Amino acid sequence: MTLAPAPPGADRRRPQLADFRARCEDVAGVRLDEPGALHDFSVQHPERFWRTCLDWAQLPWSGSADVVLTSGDVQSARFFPDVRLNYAEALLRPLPGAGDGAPAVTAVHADRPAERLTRGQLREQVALAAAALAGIGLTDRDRLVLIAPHGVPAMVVALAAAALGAAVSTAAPDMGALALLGRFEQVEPAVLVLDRTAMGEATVSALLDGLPTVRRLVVLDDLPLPEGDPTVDRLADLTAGAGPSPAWDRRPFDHPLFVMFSSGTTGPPKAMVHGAGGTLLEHVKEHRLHGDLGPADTLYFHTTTAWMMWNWQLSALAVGAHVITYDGPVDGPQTLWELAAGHGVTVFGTSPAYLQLCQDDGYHPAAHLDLSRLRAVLSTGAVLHDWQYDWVAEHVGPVPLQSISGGTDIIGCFVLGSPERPVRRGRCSAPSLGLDVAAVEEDGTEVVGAVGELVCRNPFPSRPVGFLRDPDGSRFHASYFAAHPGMWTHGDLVEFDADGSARLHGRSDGVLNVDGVRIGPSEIYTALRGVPGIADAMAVEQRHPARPGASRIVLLVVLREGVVLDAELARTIRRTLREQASPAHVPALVAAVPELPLTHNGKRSERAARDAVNGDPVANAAALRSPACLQAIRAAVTAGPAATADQDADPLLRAVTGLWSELLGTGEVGPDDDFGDLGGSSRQVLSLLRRVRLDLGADVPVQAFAADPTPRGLAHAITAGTAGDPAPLLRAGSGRPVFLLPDAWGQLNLYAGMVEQLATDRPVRGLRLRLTGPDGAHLPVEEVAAEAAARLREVQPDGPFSLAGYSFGGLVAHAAARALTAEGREVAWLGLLDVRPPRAALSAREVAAQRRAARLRTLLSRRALEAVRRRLRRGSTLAGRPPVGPVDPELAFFTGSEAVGDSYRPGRFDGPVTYFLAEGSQRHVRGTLGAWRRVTPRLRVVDVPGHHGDLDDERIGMLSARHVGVLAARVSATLA
Amino acid sequence: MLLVTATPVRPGPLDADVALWLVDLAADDDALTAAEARLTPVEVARAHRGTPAVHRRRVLLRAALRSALGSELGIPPGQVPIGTSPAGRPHLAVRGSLLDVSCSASGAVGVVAVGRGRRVGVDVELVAPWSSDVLDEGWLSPGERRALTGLPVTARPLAVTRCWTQKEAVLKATGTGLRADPATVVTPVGRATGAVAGWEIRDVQVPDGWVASLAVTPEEETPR
Repeated sequence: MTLAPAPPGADRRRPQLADFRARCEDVAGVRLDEPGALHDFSVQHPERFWRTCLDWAQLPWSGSADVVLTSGDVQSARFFPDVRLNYAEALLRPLPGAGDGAPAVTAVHADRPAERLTRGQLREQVALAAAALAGIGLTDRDRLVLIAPHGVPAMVVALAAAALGAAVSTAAPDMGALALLGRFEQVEPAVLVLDRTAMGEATVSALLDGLPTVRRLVVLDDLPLPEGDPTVDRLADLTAGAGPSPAWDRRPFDHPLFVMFSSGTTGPPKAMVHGAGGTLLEHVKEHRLHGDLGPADTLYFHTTTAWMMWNWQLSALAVGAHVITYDGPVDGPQTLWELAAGHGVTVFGTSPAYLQLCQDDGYHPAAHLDLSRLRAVLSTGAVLHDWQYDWVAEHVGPVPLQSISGGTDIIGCFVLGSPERPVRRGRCSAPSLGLDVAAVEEDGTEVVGAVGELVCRNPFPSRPVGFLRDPDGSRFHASYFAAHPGMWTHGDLVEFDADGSARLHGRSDGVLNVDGVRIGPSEIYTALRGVPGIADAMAVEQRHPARPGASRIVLLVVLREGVVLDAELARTIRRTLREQASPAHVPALVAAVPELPLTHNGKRSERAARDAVNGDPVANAAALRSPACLQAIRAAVTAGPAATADQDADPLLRAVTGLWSELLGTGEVGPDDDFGDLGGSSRQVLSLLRRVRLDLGADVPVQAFAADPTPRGLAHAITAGTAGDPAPLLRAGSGRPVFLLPDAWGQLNLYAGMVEQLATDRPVRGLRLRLTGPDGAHLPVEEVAAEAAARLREVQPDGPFSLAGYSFGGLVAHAAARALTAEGREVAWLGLLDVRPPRAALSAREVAAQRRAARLRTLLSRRALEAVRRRLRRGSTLAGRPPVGPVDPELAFFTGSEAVGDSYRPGRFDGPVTYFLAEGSQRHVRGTLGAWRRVTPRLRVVDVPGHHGDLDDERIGMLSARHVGVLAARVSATLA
Repeated sequence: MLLVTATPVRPGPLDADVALWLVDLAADDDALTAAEARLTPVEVARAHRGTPAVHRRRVLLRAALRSALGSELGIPPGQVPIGTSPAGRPHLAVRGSLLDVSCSASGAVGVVAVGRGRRVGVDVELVAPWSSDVLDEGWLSPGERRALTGLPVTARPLAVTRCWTQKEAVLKATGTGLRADPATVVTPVGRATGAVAGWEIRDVQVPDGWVASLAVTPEEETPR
């Protein structure tokens, strides 16, 4: 029995990739089932791979496929020079599982009902249109420009032109005349096809004036026809009077199919010609092998006719998928999800920006809609952030979120999904089969696990055939092959992991190079995500206004409505970047702008912004959606230094700057200079803070200073410090905070090592609590806990809460957890770090057991206090003088806390409790842990190394550097 | 002049578990250029952000740190993989490495300590004239304050500077730096060696006018 290849997508459980692999294994004679093996085969044996791909896909072609590849040179190699095919024929032919009656396209509109065409109906319409276009003289030597919304007429015209062998170049009608001419003037089209409904009359006449090669204008709309030259016809009239459809000739593999445009970061957009065979083969490969797309699928990729995803989606007809188009507005987060649910979309393609819009609006698609048909979400156009994977998992459903990335330049993808690879948050799953894609250093050496320039090191079929208006190919060479000889350099930054998964890091021309350090702007954007008030941001490099040859970072921010960029927000931005990225990521200037420069494709143009901040002419202004934003950027950047001058007039900042100069013995201190950069030592920090206390009357903790060690940061800490943050952030993160309760000294310092090593993305906060009343007497644990609960709620209004405390702090944590649950709030995690049961909680037997413990030391006991005194005396004796005065007041404070702790009677808490029992406390606690078990039925005990860390105990404590790593790991493992 | 790059000092055979290097931070410009060539672009850029003196210090100290680790590992200094903790503590970015490193600088003197199977923290300070202001800076414990004021005035400059270097050495060894309260690290005022907060404190021989202390984990410790 001869096994016919399985029809595309016929068996969902077995991806088409598996079938294809089996075919390749036959060809290769080896197993290719190891992860990455098939990709290795595809790049090591390109001739066998692409030949197998062509055969397996059962595309209609004639001629000979004996010559697969003419050379190994990525710039000049040609694929299948003797193969002839027709793109339209390949897309519209009846397929197994997708015959003429199967749905081909459903065009959805905002203002009228959807239209649906079967594959047979679509082929008929394309045939009619082809006959009409042939009738007005369109030939396979011509190019056709099509400006229409994403809908059935645009597909029909494009396929009709392709059937005739004319190259097609498309754009959306809402683009301005200047942008349209910037693209199409180079195309020199013979026929112009317009849908004028969404175009201004002025745009239409500007197009006709600017495109003198147009012999015939064809309109898709019902608006009145203009008089004069060139001749204007309605497509409907032409098809009605057309003769029989001409034959759809098969033409060479590289015959022009599409003329596409790069977004043009330098000069006018590059007009690149994509061949029919390369486009078709690449798209079929991506759809079937990477997307597992087939006749069972309904694909909607949100795009316009101005973006390559339109062409990519069109090619899905070649694998039998049902394509949805939409030409209406996106009114809000629900629009596209409702479309997907309403039309049974199985594969939905969108952008990180749209997913973020949904997340920011708090929209939860799965809560409102039936998305049960959806099996994959694709995203492209920008870098997808980790948290967006979580959002899709939580609010869309258990479908893979596949980040795909490539470009117009290759009309396809370099990295994308794979049906056999798991999706890792924030990453594209696999390199495109047949493409030897890698990240390389400047010298061309490959890097794995680090960010490098994205290159493709071997020939691939969807490389453009060439550029228009580039007779000697020099622009083509300069665009892709000059940076790394023998490789296609794409202009993106990427990082590959050893498993082949990849993360894009933005355009490499968006990379900031500040004093030789390459900074990926995506790191800046990720950090800024945590700053409320910022809707969008763009970091660009500016020539330093004062230091020739040097450069600095300018950060442009788009603020949310009602938010103002004041000194406070600018500080928050700087501090966030310093903490979460690095000091090198801190911008020299932050400027608020109403809008960022976006190209018509919706891509961010760092290049335009960079030209604007440097005051240079913007080369690609015509490629921008709203060139007016450039003027606003120039104005904001010019105004920036003035705003800084205002802040310098701030007397507090002036005073602080003065103290710095004095202490460091340096004359020039700027408000944003780093203490360390000026030569300040840690010892001098303490001298500085003393002066601040004496001269300015503010007590600034070292930690607060270290968070932003600049005069501006110190001035801010002074302003904020007088009130004191009751819930200081000990470590930044996202999600619900983990709260730590202060020890018997009222301090949080002891947690520093643990905070540093906790394996969690969540923020960690400490609580500052009043342990004594107005009379100086210690407050009962319950009262301290009541304040703790109130502070917790201020930071986090609703549960579930996570909190922990060491020793005395653990008692407060327990009481606070009780207070929170009494209010009906959930406490998800209560961590007790070696919190010995208070004396008051012990039964008589337990007290006896405790007495028997060999090394019983409670700090309340006289012995402990005596031991401390003895140590103090010892030190003093060495210094040659007896101790002076009564008991140390700080020690008295500590023992006071311990006393109220020991009189605390823990009440019942039914939530989960994790007790971290120090190894050294085991004997001590044995026989008394029952006191905790009685009131916390869900107590779980986790052993940790080290001793309790009593004041009078020189043995190494559980929170000491030596043991804190294990403690932090165990706390992290149980954290909820 | 001490030397062009860095000199190992040998305080005694007991210290074979820690390699100590002295760095001449007053080295000439040729030495500076040579040192800069051993740094990564990020290190150079960080150095350049500082004033000229800070730049010189950062370049020479970092190059010495690379030399010290390079000589332990037998690889060129420029190839030593160095990572930095969020708090700024350098470490050898090699999984499972038993080497730990710490460095410090004050004026013309730099010190690099490499712990072999020991976690280390080192701090060097120029001895400054005594001022009672230090009692008020919040980093001394009450006992330390009493002990210091109990010393003859002539003994105080060295004692208080040593006290600081011991605290700083411990805080650098723990990795928290000044984010932890230095007053909670109680030192044996007037003594150059001893145990502080579970760490073994050693004296490091440095030129006259400076004092340096080394904090080391006790023998059985394995660094993270």
